[in-house]
Amino acid sequence: MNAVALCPAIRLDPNDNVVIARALIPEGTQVAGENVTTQQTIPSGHKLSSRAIGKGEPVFKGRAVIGYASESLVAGTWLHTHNLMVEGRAQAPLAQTPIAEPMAPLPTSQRATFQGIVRADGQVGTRNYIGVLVVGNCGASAARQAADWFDADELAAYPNVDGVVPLIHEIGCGMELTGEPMELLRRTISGFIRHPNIAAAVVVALGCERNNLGVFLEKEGLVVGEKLKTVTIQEAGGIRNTVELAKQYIRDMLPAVDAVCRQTVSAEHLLVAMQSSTQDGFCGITANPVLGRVADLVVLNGGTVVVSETPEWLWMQQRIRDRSATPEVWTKIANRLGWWREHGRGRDTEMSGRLNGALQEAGLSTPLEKAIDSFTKTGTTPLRDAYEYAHAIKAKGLVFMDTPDADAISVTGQVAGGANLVLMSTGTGTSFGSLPIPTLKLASNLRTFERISSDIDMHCGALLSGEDCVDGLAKIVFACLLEVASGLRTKGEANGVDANEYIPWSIGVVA
Amino acid sequence: MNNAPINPFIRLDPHDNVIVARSNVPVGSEVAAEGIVTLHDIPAGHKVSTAFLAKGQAVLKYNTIIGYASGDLAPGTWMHSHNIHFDEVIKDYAFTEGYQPTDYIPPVRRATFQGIVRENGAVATRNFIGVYVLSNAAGMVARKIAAGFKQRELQAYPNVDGVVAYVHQQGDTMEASGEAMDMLRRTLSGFITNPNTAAALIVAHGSEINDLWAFLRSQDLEPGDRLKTLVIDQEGGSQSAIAKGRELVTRMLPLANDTRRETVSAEHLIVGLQCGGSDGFSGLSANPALGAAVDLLVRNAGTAILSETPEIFGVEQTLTRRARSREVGQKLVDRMNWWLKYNAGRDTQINGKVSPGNSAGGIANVLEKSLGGAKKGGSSGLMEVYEFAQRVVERGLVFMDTPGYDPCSATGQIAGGANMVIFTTGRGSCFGSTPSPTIKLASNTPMFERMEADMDINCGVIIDGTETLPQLGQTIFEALLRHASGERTKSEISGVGENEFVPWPLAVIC
Repeated sequence: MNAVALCPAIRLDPNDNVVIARALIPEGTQVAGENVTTQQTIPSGHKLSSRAIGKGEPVFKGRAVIGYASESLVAGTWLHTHNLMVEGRAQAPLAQTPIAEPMAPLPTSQRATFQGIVRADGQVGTRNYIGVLVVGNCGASAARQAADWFDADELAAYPNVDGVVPLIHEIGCGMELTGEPMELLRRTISGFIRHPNIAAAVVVALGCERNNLGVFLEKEGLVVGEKLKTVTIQEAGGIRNTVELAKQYIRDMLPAVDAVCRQTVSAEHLLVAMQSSTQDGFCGITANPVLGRVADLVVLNGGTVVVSETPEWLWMQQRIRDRSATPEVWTKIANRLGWWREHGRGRDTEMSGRLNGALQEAGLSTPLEKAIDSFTKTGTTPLRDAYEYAHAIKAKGLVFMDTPDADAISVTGQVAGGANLVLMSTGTGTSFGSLPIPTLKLASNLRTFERISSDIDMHCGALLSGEDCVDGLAKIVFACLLEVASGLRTKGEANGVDANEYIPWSIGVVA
Repeated sequence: MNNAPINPFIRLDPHDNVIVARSNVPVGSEVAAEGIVTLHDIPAGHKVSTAFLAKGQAVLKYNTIIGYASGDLAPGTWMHSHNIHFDEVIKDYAFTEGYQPTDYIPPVRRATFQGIVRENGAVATRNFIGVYVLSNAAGMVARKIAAGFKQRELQAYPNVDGVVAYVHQQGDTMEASGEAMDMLRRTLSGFITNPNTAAALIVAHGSEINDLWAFLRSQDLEPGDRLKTLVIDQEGGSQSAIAKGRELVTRMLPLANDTRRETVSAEHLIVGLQCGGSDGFSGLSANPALGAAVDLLVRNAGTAILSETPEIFGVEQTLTRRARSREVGQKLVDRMNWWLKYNAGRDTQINGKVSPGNSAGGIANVLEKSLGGAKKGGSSGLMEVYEFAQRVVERGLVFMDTPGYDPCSATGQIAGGANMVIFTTGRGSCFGSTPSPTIKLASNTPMFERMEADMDINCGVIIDGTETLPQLGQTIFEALLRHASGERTKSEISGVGENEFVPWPLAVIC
């Protein structure tokens, strides 16, 4: 009954000149409620003009300009990359509604709680892993072999240990000896070693890397002890001895790592990394607004939310300035935007105005539209601080970390900064996972969820069918987030994702 | 007799004003043969001066300038990065002046090995099924597909060396066009078409910028019996994609197993040359010994690929001199200039500073390192210069432009068609590579003994004085033929090679 009564097109704002197809609308369909007839077939999630739009006129979706008509369009026209342009300098305008007064977090006694693992230093973990890390790729095979040894059988006696995870990467040698590329790599690795989800760690080195083990430990203030061991292949006498030594260290660590119990802690210990992956035309009206509401709820409960993916933010300058809690926060972000503008100059990337084919097919027409859609996941609270990649996040509330869009690299930076949960929206689906941190995935629509339900935890179908609202769904997602933080396994974890998505950002030269 | 005192230092050339310590030599040691007394402790592999050096005077090793004295230095001084400085060394490219046509061994007398001849005539040394990803988003699925084929599952297919996942970190949120994407694509297709890859499965997530059909089209690849594709998005998620992927691989197994080795000429060998973790001995033992083996290979009409452009910086004129033509030589110079620009203002080796490990091993600067590293190429003419991952078609000694970073460099060589890799190391390494196996040469005996499970051949015998370079070159060449015929290398026995697949990350990731 519900479905029949629904208008085939979704109107986001009374003033918009486009509406969005809830499902595929055939050519020549009279669109109920909009009084237009479709001039072409409108694919699901794509846009059609709800009135005539003159050449060069702005196209409004959700009150925001997402581009300009490249020709005169009659009402009912399919609007997409072929007739919607965006200039390189186009910017999302200021938010139309003033930012809400910064809300005070709930009093401590009223905050939500979860079952967390409280570490000796007061940090709270959501999982309990042993990490096997490398300073450079030359230790990768040894690290992987040592970690892979600890399968379910080997760990059977240690039910509180979630696993032994190899955190290996492609860089560490043949690169800058000093400067930001090396410092970034080092703080990423040490961010994982210090992470509350990593109970103990073994670091494997070959011995002659440019990212020298001793210098790494010293610069990062890491001290070898019961919870941190190192093995150097050149000193241990080869890969076999190294793997055996690493395995022995891990065996010795297991009893202590297993001796943890979860306890009730306040949701203020949540540090949620927000991500959007494989976006479609629905994400901006379903999954991302839900994420935004969840972000507000986390902040309301005294927790922290980190948003990233800077290349998209290039299109959102005015809104970011508007959302920054202080001029200092805005300056920090603006500096990074400037860096990215240089970094992407002359390259054929999204920053230069071209979306990839899969995004276009899914209904997104311009990078500006994608950025506006994506930005809704930041919610409504002020940006309290801004961090460079993989820096430890100290502030509470909503914060920004500079990372690329690339999911794996972005999450790696956020986790190194301390994120203990990832919340990811997806339009066309993803099998992303991010050991040692759980990723909760929310599909923008029911079809994607049904198509790949083995990889995706929740969906926003109820929003498109009109059965629920953003606030309602956000409460469900927030409750689920607390359960995942308490140990409930996500789909990805149940599938046994491993750590292929641990990718420290490589910003240097490979020499 | 065996215990007769052996000179603790090695003199490389009568004109040199430095010599190299065979082992740690304490301060105050008298070196009769040179008429000096050491003024400092000289660590093994490090250098000591044999004559008074005035400030700015050239420091000569192998009768080649490796830098200039930073001050007036007395004989017996420990010579290292603190007192050897270098600025721009004037180079004379002398294009083609030293080129000598190869003195080929007649075809009937050429060395042979047991190779696998593919339909297109290319010859393999191994027989792998590869599972490739178009982007990192397919990494987990690819790894789990390959993990389904362990020893037990492959028992019925004794000729298949393994099913390997080649996961990398690029392919999405990068340039849609241009050199970065072209390079990634030719690297992937180079592996897929390497003769050592019997069959391949390409896994895509479905939404990556490195789009499957564009990839196949750009590389002229056509799915068929030996090349399958799998799109996770179209399979209904990761779990069904893994099941489908395993089914596709299973279907290709009988075909991949249907091979046999036969006697073929050594001319079918294409060997990638690598060095990693060099020390002061590398340039004296392992690298020149490998160079001797390469000269043999080239005379047998085989091919050797010298690479690691930033690591021949300073000695490129020794290659341009031997270039077959001015054009070939100029290509090398052009690539070197690209590297200098690329690294401008970066704290990288090409700007002078070698890795801490190299430095501890006695290498003062990039010039000295390059000098040793280039010896791997032997003395043959330089026949061609290739871009990263470009298909190698010329015979003889060729150069491929790659970073010095080992996994990345070897990845380019294998994409270019290398069916074997030989890797020299002084500090020690557990490097390995698939589908083309790596043979590792140790530059010194103590390291060889310490890491015997990783090292295939000990070149320390040169330092110990028990073997000569031509003898050792022959030994290496024979080992190459044996391993090419199927004998497993140390890294294969240890199961190393999968994590060392690293396409050059030249992309701007956004």
